[in-house]
Amino acid sequence: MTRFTSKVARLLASLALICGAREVAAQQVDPEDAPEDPARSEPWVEWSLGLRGVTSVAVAEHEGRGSRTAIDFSDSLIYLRPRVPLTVSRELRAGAQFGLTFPDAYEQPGTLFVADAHMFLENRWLFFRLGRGSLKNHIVPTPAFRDDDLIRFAELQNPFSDGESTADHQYGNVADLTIWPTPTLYADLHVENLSNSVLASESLSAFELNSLGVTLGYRQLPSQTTLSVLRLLGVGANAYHVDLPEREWSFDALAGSWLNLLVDPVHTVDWRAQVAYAGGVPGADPTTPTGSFRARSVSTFSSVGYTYRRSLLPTWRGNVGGGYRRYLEQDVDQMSVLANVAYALGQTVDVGLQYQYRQADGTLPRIFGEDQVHSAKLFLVGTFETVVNPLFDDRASILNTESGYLP
Amino acid sequence: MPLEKTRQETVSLPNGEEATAVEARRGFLKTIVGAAAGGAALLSARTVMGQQQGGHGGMPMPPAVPGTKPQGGMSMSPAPLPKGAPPEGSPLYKRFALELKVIQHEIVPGIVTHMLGYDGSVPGPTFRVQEGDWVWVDFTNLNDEMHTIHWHGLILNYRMDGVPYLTQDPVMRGESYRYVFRAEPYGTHFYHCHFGTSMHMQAGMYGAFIIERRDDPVHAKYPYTQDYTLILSSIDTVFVRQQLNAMFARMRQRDALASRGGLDAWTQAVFTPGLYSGKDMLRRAIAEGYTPPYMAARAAAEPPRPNFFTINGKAYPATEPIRVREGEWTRLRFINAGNVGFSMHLHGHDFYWVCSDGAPLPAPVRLNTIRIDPGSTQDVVFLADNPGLWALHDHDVTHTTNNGVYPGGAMTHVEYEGFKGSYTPSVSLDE
Repeated sequence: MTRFTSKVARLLASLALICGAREVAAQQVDPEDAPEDPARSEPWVEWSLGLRGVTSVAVAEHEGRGSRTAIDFSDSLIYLRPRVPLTVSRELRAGAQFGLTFPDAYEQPGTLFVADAHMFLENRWLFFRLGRGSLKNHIVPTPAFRDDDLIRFAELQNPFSDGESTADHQYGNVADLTIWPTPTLYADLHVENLSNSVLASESLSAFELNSLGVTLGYRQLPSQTTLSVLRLLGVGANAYHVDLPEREWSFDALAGSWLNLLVDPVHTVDWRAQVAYAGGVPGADPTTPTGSFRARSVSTFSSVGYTYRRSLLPTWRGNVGGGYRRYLEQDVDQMSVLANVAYALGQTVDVGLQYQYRQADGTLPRIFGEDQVHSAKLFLVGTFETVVNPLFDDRASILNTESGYLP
Repeated sequence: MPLEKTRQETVSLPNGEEATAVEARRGFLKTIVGAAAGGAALLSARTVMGQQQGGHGGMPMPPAVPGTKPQGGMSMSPAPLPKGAPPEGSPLYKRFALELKVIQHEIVPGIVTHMLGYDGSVPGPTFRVQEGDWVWVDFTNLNDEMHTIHWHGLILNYRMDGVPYLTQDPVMRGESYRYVFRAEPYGTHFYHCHFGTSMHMQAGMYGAFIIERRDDPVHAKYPYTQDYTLILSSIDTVFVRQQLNAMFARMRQRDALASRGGLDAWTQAVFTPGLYSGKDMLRRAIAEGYTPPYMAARAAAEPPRPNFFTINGKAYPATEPIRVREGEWTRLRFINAGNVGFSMHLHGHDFYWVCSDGAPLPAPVRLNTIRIDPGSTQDVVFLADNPGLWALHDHDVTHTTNNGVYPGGAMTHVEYEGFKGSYTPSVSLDE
């Protein structure tokens, strides 16, 4: 993170003028009669500006199509995240997040997708967001380079999706309340409008809250993740209003943990595991994309990773893991194993290599790149973030958790 | 916190001798000082705050890295007593104890921030001793960062000077270190942390150290009845918050490493100077791929840009007034413990600049504005001969702001006791 600079200030001021920020603010009240409030003429805003670049060159052997190569920039993301203090309560602050990303390459390459467009309110105890955002579809993140490499095994499936995009399973229109009774324990309640195709244009007439769920968990403080055995532990359950003749609601549940097997800030060995059960819809046909999301199934993934931080700076890491999914009514399955290694070129820039093997029952649909049997990918990834005018400490910072919280 | 002001009162001790009772803030320096039999300066001294002595917090010793001394702070063996010092248990010492911890400090109403407080206050307690006194300070660190105490302006044995890796190992969490020195020379001095100095001083690790003399040359010429200490400072609250969090996180990792003997030469390459061939070691480490924390690839902070300017830890309007009596002299001791210069200006009076860095000037200088550079102390006296309410403020007016908004910062006022003025504000706007 860097601090406020005059150059960035000028840039933001220019952007505000270009975008007509004052006019937008006035429209919140009444465009014809917005009172001029001089005290708000220079609103104090914290801006997080970020870009995550995920690029790779891949060689993959496809079922029946031989080997192919591709350069892939999907998952790259640009985002803005302003936050402001509120006058109604010193404890409360408000913010918004807006993010654009490219969905996965085998879908609609080049399509720019609105992944985040939500407002949020937060204080020491809670975080509430409303709008487009990521779904609470997993407990433990995978160590894969791309968010969809193990999506069939590590993330709950959206039973409404038409199978065109992995984004259907990762993003939705959400209302999400997370409560933190302690700095590490949380409970999350969420309702969503899941879409059959999140990439397609939507209209409010199709809007329906068709999913709800709860997650309970423990999350180690960010500053302590290499210093304790337990990093993450959680359970969750969801219900989906599928509204089908066979079943009105379908359910799923999941549990996961992330542990350090070797607690050492230089040499860290970690183990991740997650298992999910999807109750599904009786008779769902997993040979079609949507049917595969609605079929009764068990899925799991696990990985072991090693991270080396020379002089406490990220240096390199490697992971070996895999996933397995079994469709219980049809007694068919699919699996994948994956190994990767990443070397830190800088504090936020990695070069990496990943190999993945996939195997699936012949009746299952080959979506989400699942026609690739073997793939090897060379990655160059980086995250670039600047916080301009950093007004707030993190809820889970050392100071806030150990020396009294300050809003 | 009110402005530190002391009055010396002569009291009778049980043994019939006279002593001077000096009471400073928060009961810290409650010492009874008297004329000892046989002409010794000290009759008795007691430390009010009992502190756990010694101990190294159970911190294990890491292996020595070739070419370096053992990792700082692990070996908290005390420095030898300075030449001429009384034996350890001697009653001739004025003994004090200082603890350091993270506190929440209100700079001005509505602005509370995490800071580092000697004995839980910003600034730390004021030391007030007689020239020639032997002083014993047990300093205990109760937080994760490394610290020392530098006795700024005092002439003492180099092992008591508080510079990490040059004169001592830094004091790590749970450890104590003793500072023993003779209080000299006379004058207005201060103390501060000398580890992570830029951040730690902003975070509040400073306090006044006043060395008095019975034949005070300033008092002889200007028989002042009021004596105020004004410690000036500046803080970038964002910088302090971010750096404290980052440093605490790093220190915990280093603690964990040290407990496994896992610290490597690179983590020590920057701070082992001079005698320990640090520069060569640093060059070697960089040649092998090490990135020092000050290089752009690692630097996580821009230089601090203060957004609050304080007098004794408070910004206007939370600063305390200077209360004076008509016809009497008042001494103001300015100490700049911050990282910007201050030009303190008094309205309605001239004052006499009498001491600089503690030392009396050969000839006082008549002024109404005095420059106090970072690290310096300047003493002035003025005669309260113009009853009223008078502003006293930094005339770099960017420092009379809070978060950039005027009025605020390094500003207070002089109040005459019993003064009833003809003016009362007819309106007060939030501007």
